Amino acid sequence: MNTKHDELSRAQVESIGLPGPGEEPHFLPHPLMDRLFEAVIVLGGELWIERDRRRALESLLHSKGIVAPEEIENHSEADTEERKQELSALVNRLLDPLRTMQSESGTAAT
Amino acid sequence: MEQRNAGKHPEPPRREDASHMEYMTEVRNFAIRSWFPRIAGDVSSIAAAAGLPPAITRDEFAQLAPQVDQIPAVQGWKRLMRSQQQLAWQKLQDSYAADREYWEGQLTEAEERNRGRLHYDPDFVAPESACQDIHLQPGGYCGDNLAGYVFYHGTRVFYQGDNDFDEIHDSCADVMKLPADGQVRRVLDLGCSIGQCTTALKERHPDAEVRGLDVALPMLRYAHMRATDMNVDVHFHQGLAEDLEFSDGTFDTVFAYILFHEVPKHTFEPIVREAFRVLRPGGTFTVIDAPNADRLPPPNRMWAAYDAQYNCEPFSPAFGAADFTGLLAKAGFEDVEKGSSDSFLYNTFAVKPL
Repeated sequence: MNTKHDELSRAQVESIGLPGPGEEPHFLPHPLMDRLFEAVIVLGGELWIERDRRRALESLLHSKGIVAPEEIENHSEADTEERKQELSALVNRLLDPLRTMQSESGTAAT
Repeated sequence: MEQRNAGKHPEPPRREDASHMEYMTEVRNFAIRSWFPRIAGDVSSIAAAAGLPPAITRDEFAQLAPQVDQIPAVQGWKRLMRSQQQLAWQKLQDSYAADREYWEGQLTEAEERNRGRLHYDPDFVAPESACQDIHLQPGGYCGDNLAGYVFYHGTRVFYQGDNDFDEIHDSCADVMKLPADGQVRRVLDLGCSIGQCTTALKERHPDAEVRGLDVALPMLRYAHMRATDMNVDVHFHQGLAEDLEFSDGTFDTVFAYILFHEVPKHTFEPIVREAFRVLRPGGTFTVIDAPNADRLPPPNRMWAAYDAQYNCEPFSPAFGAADFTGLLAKAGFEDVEKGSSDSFLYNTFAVKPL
């Protein structure tokens, strides 16, 4: 592509004030509030994914006569490595936005 | 639920991706249908207190913006909109990337299965303007070989479930202006993306040769795979809308769905000129795009400003401010008709003189 085309496009992008690569604007009074906001959205997503899967699984188990709801209620699982890793990944996804906050400036984007 | 128009990959890779999309759709619904109306009144009140009319320009909104941005509910709305968009894209992209070889193989397999329908030059370099993380999609349309898969599912969230069966693309294909003589032998879909309008146009004009053109190869490869799976015989070309490879007078009708607000303003005129050139006399040009209006109600103006800066739509304000019908007339089109729309999109029609 010719350079003139790219230069004109770049000028138009810059005039809009797009956040640069790796820059995350904050809209709320402090970056921490933005990150907390994001964490809540992430948490809601994780919650719904698990709830949706559990509903499907319990429904299948029950309809096939394999496990009754009260058996699930009373079951205890061994503490496997895979389970620990899943929990670790969940905590990372949820709290990573808060960690990211520490490297951001306190200047409001708006 | 099977997606009628999705080819053989109607759902994202994992059940949890589908659940996450469903959740993100609800979050977006909440932001748009519940939260936005709450702040719209506040924004309108600020504009009215400043003595501004019910519909304002971009510059007039810029004067209000510092005050608008102090409203806590506006701050939260922006955060919600941006995070929802980022998180929806990221999860889809991570899911596809986890099995990259398989998904890329599906694209290649479709190319081998249905040869001669996807046209591109491996040495083509897309312009920088097409390499933005448009709508915050990581890598945008050009930067990830799997961008078409991610885009297809990500935009299902964007359309809030209203386009799961390509309903919006179907309705756009329905409103395409036909030449007065009714002859539709060749159709060009400019900025065809993953080909949802391209296939809809072919379904409406089964005897016509329908070609889609886009700058982004990952999108075109997905478009080709999808059309192949749907058994819809269309062509896809990689290229620039402002520099078409087709001869003068090739097409009976040219169609552009949400193209212009995503390209830089210095390309508006060349694209219109090229559309005019490749149309035969009496051919029609249909443009369906974001509002091309000097004045918008203050809340809509706030949303447009947010989109431009924080949803990576850097070229949309210039389209909104352009004298687009003037450009069409300048290129030689006549019967330029700027219609409105019931949705968030506006239709513009033009005819190449006989």
